[in-house]
Amino acid sequence: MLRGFEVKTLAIIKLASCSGCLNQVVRALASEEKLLNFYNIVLFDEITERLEMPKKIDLLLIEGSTVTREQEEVVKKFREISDFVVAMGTCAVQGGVQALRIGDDVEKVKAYVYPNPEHIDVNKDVKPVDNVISVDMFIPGCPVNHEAIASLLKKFVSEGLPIAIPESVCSECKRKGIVCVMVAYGIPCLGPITIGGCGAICPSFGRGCYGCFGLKDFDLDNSKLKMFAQQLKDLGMDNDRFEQTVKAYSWKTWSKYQNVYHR
Amino acid sequence: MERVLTRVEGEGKVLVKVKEGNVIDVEIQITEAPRFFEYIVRGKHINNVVEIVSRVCGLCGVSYMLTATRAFEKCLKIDVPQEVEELRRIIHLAERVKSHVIHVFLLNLPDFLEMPNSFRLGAVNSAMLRNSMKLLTLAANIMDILGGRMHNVVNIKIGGVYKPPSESDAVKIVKLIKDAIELFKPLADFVLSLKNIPEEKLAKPLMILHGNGYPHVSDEIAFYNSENAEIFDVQNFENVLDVMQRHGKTALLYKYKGQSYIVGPFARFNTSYDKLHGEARDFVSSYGWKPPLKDVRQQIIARVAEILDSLLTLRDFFQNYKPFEIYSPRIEPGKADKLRCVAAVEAPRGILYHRYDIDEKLKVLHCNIITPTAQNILAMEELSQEKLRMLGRAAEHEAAKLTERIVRAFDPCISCSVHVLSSKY
Repeated sequence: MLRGFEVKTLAIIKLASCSGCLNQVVRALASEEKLLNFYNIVLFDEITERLEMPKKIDLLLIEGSTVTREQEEVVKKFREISDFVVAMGTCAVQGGVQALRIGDDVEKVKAYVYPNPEHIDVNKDVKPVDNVISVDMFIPGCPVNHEAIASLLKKFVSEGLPIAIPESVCSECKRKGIVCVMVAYGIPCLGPITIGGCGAICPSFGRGCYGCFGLKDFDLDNSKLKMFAQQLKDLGMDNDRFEQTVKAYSWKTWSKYQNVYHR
Repeated sequence: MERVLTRVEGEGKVLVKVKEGNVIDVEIQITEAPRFFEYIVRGKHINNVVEIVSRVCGLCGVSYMLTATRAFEKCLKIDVPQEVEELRRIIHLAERVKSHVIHVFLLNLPDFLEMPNSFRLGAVNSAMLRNSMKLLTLAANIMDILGGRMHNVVNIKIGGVYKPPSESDAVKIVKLIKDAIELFKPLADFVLSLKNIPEEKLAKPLMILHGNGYPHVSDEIAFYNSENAEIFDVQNFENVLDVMQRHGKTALLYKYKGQSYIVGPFARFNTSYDKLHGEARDFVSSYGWKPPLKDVRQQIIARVAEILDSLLTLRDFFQNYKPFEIYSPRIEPGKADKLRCVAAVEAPRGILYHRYDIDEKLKVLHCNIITPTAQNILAMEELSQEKLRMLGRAAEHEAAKLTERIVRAFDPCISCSVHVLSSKY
């Protein structure tokens, strides 16, 4: 069909999540007309009726974290038939905002929301995808950057992959020439401890980063985090709010730094 | 028989019970896993809550942020200057465009073309596919300038916005909108000229946010059964609705005075057509489309009208736009140890209602969210039953598919409806 390239089978599945990253995939497909020629989309419930499932999937994108046994079975089944698995977005990578309930008694959580909690079948834990299966690549973001997805789709078809550059949001501000909101205006900003990839959106709007791409998993430890929390406190963000903000988008990395995460 | 719902946001199923060839029951099952939003926002600072609730829905996050900020502003008596409030509503209309473009061209259109997805269009009408994808890109680019990104925008806060667009931003947006309108009209022509949009009598009473313009943001709700409207304050919303939980199921169902009702584009178009932007009204009516739409499967017409209405409203706004100073009101805690914060907004799919009880430290004590999809579920089921009963035995094989099409016409947002259930408090 296209000289030099084989058409790849692509499947996109959703677990506990909001579909925001799925829509970034749609945007990525919309941005590059030719991409659709390179992929045979075999499963993407939001966009297509279910067609016949192949025995093997070349590229599987997973949005969301698992909160039920059934979801765990589903991802295990898909892992077996997929060549390359990508955890896409903060829920899949870190757990997502739904992980804010971890540590609380799940029966109480259910009873708070549902009049008949006994009918609600959910796990005690909210699990990032790599807590259930092995994952070949992580693309963070709440939502993921559509350009990162377009880059993956373009490179994957030519047997390559994007190379992740480990850096913080600060690097993006520097490259874009955005004045540091923390240094210049005293606005609390999670940029220094947050993984880059968004393009420093929040500082470009004159506000502090709130860490939705997740905590850096390099160059940080608990004592550095504590020091940084103190800096933020001096600027008016109390420790409680800091912790709430970090946990909401970085549950996995946060709990690793706190030594409470066990895979 | 059972059918997985596709080309909808989120995970659900339709279940059709057939006995001796006749449909006896239709049920929409929500299979989406719950995320317990009402629980997780408890104890969180209201500024964090605005960002967290945006994560309920990947298609209408701005609606969530706007509803939450308005609820907090009202109860904390924070004044938002008119130009700031207008800009926020404009960001919200840009989301309406994005959400509707995805639904009309990617989710709903394949139903009228008998295709499993819109990508198949590439083989028969590649310009149509290419241009609808370009239109989506333009809509997303407008969101980027106004909100920083297409989803989970960063430019809405309690008290207003973080950064008003600059003069050069406004010029860029006007250009994007003009390109979008130009691309959209031939696409809309295709949709409005479709000959196979069903036109039976298949509808329910309607509910909208009632105000001066086309339904958008208001503190009053109007219920229409036939011509007459009953108007009530949004503060009474929870009191006037009957809420039922189906035995053993997660979804809650809503009724008003014992009846199911419809919210969203169908309700807005049929009650407020006269308030659409004049050019949008002229465009749609030149194809013979006028209210009342009789059949819920005609909602695609209402969405086309609303896309054009929103684009024109955005164009008018930015053609006359003057940047303004950033406004940052101090958020003072309320005097009472418990404040009730209530607001509603017309999200792309209809009335979205939030209620938060907050304490003197500005942390959420309790939260209740009523989503458009949760309100529409009962109407979807009853209308499917009606339609299938009319068809009788002939419906047997097609029952699940027919139901899916009725459901899809509502553009259900299942991620929203699953966990956003009325809390007991």
